[in-house]
Amino acid sequence: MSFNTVTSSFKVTRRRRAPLAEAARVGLIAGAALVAFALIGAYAAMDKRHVVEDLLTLSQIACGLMVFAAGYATARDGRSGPAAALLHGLVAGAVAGACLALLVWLTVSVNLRATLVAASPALARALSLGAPVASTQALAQLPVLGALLAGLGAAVGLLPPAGRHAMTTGLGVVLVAGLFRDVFASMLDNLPDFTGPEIELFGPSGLNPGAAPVLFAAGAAFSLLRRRLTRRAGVPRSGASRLGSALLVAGVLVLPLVTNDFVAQVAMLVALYMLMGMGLNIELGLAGLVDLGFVAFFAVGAYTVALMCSSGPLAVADVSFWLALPVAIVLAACAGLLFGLPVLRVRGDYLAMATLGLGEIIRVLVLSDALGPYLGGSQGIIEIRHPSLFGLELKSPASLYYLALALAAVVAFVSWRLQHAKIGRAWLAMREDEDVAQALGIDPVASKLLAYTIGAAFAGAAGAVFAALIGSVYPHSFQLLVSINVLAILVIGGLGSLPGVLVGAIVLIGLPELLREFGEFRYLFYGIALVAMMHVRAEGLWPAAHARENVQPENAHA
Amino acid sequence: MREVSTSPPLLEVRGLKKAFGGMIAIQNVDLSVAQGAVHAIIGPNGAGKTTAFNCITAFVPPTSGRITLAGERIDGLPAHVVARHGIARTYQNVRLFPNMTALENVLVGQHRRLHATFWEAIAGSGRFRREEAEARVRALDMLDFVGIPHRAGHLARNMPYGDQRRLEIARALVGGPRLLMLDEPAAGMNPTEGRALVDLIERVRDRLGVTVVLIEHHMRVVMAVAQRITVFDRGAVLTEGSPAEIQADERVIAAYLGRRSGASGPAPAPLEPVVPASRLEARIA
Repeated sequence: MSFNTVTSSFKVTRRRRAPLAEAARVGLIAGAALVAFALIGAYAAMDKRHVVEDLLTLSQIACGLMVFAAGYATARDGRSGPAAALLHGLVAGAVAGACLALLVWLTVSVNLRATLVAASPALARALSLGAPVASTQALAQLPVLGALLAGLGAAVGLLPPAGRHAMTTGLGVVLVAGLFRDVFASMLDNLPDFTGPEIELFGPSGLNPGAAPVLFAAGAAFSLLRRRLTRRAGVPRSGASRLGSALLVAGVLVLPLVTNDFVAQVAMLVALYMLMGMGLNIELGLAGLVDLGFVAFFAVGAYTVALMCSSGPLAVADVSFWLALPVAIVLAACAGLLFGLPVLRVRGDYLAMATLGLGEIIRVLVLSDALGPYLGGSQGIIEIRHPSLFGLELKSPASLYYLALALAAVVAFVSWRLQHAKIGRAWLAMREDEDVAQALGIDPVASKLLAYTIGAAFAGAAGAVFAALIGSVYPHSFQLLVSINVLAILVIGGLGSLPGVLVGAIVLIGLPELLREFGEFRYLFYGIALVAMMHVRAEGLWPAAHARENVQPENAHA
Repeated sequence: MREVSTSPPLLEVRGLKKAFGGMIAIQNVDLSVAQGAVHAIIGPNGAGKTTAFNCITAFVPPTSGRITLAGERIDGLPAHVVARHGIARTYQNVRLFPNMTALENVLVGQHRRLHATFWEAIAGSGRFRREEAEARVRALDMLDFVGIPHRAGHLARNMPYGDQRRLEIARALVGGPRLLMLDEPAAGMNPTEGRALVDLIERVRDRLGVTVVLIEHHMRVVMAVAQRITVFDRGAVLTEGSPAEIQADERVIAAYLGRRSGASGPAPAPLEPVVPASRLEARIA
């Protein structure tokens, strides 16, 4: 894979400027970001969402964070003393705020709406923050607010690492709690009420104003405490991280029970994408095969279950899901083998193109007149029966979540075992250098074909679960976008890393689903996050290589 | 100097030719490597040494010619089958698996020695566990053998250059080859490292019983370690002999300096190795 090589060529060499000019430049960049944020309509859309009840909206927080980051960045530049850094932060913030004030003034005095739809009076009103619209007070308060926020950012940037970490943790806790109010509120609803009605963490749409500082303090205190504990030799790091993963597993297991159906449904989707991610991880992460037609095998699995477990007119059989599941897996694997034979002799980019074609072929075939009578064409297949276990029908989102999770666990186990066997090492070697791997006795076509077949089988399993979850299958569920999403999960999580698949699925599938109020702006942030990610951490959130290094040094002298 | 056995040659190359389009890289190459020998191939850059290596290991398919290993024909076979016949190699510019640890690199080298199936690996059968444990021990032993036991857990790309070269040899050896082919193993090494390499090659031959063919420019290394030397020039074998014979051969010195007997005027001097006449003679003599 060449993601890393591509991104590492983007190393920017920064020219040295006078610090004040640099601060103004950072301020201008932040200001431009703010203006763009407002003009695309994101500000107005996200202004409806209160993170802290009646006090702070999501868009205000987003703008605040941009300015805060600008101040932080100027202070972290580290070329001047604390007082100067603070001043530079103030300057950057004031410049950024002034940009926004200019926008408000323009919106009111010039009619921009002909070209910029979002530059509406409503925007000007929202940005005046309660002051009379576009009054001197409204215009003046923006640079002042900006300067204050960026000054705060600079101050945090100047703190020693412990303090910085505590501040950012506290801020993060408040943000997460406010953003995912629904998840946490439903969890709290399901818990027995210890606190009594007078202390409520959440209001109807966000955090209660009283609760936000408490949470901030709690987060900061936790960070400081953790730092103190880990520094002391008493608590070894691995012990702490083991506790962390135990908590994570427990959280994953009880999640749908303590929250509402919507969260369970999102969790189910995450588990489903994890299944697919682990399939593609074998192909792309381990064997280095760029497969853009991954969704084809997903479709094979889904249609197999649909045809075998439906009471509809198109059904071939009406058997149990548990019988159809292995059939779906085997059929998907066969499809993988059949597709793999012609395409796996090509390498790299050509392989991506070939698989892209194959992925589309399946979808077009389903829609075609030839297969329409058997697969329902664009009408799809409906009335797929829910799987049942011990006479219990798995119907609720929570139970289906457990089904997907159980399958994901099995697939993760198989992946893990294969990864640490001869074949897994052969895949990794093929990814790194195909010619050298072959010179060591590895049959390239056979091992690629195996990777492709196993990946297809996993995708087939995911498709089978998908059909059972949704209860119906339509060709439009099997768009190229699904393949791309799975690919993005792997890249974000870290190629070849199993925990990375989990992290990637949560970040790319779970978070956007939970943040539905972002609407189409989700994809904007999605894109920004991807670009930023490739710049800052191209190897993924949970990279595989680092996990491997120095794992065995103590055994080295065995 | 060790005696070369009189048994039939391990590797026999007859009439090897490789043409890239219209450009003939090598032709009429005959090479015969005795069992248990260290056989060096020398020659100016562009003489076709690495091309011959690549043809023997099926990295590139030869245009024509016949290659046999211990009497079995191996030309025309794919590279992984040639490897299974018992040929392992290293590369002129080190080609490790950079994002894998040293231990993992050496484990990959054992690919053809491991027999547990796919299903056994998933089930974690007894044979699979036993085999993996043995493979680990073998890998660590091999890292120890080449002198980098402390590197086992390091990513290959983070290792110093000299250790990378050793790791590449370990990866090649751990598969239990009959013939080890080293492409400029001493490149970029100082005299001390060169001596350590000579020692390593001798241990490979004597303790592991592996026949070694090496391409090398460092004359000191070649003269110290090889029993037999083949000199390549302009895509063909110029001459072959014992180190003493090669040292005495006028044509070899001429080839290295770019002067050829019978040629009118001096041909363009090869860029590398930049060896002045006096120094070359000092090295060879």
